[in-house]
Amino acid sequence: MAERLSINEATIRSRLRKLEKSGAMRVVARVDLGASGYPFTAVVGVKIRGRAIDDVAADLLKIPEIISILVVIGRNDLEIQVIARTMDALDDLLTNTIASIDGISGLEKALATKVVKYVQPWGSFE
Amino acid sequence: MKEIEFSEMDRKILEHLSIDARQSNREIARELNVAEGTVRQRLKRLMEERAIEVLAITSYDQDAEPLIAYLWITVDTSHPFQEVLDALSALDDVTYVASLVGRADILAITWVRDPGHLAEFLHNTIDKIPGVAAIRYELAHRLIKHDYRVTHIVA
Repeated sequence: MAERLSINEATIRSRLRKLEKSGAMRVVARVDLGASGYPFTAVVGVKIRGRAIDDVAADLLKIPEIISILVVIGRNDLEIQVIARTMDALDDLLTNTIASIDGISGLEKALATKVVKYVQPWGSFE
Repeated sequence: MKEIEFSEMDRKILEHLSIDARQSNREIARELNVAEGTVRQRLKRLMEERAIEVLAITSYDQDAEPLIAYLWITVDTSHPFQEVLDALSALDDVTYVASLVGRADILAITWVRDPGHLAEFLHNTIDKIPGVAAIRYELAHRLIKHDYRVTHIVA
């Protein structure tokens, strides 16, 4: 890396350490969803009526198969990503578990048939 | 990717590494009360099978481009679909590309500074990709959860 950037190796090391210490960056291991037995992903828009977005989100946070929750502007209130081991499990999550949450008035669903790029090198650190 | 078998030990090792991959095999071995060679061997296998990857991730809260844009793309079916996927994947600013059943033909995700930046990106870059027939977008202004312990490792 030092060679590529024409920067001293020690400088890079100390900059990285600083970023890690301040909590701006982390070095982590990530597991492939397919390899760990979750070959199905749905991307789902959530419409909410009559309940606060954060209260609905709190219920969604209890479901470990939901790997992403974003608050969006547009015709949906949230965008979520749902993973599952089988098509049956995915169907159950979407039509029963998630649809029955209080305040959710609509789901706009799509199945990701092939993920061709997944970089997303960011996270929310608690 | 096909499912591979994760032993109880693999899962325990990954629990440690998904929080901090800087930990040495020796530290993990000590905490799990196993030999260092066991940890090394397990990790070697998981890396070889491309079941895990190690990378640096940055904090969402400190990002200079804080808006996540979901781009729902419809493809002109007279154009080769794969070429559109490839063109989107080749863009550094696009961090996620998937083909879909439902909602649109392709979902691509990018990051922008503000709505103006998005308009410019759509007009100057995405619109110009041959085969892109229509784009709808959604802007996310707040991230409640993003599980960075999981990914799709693409060959």
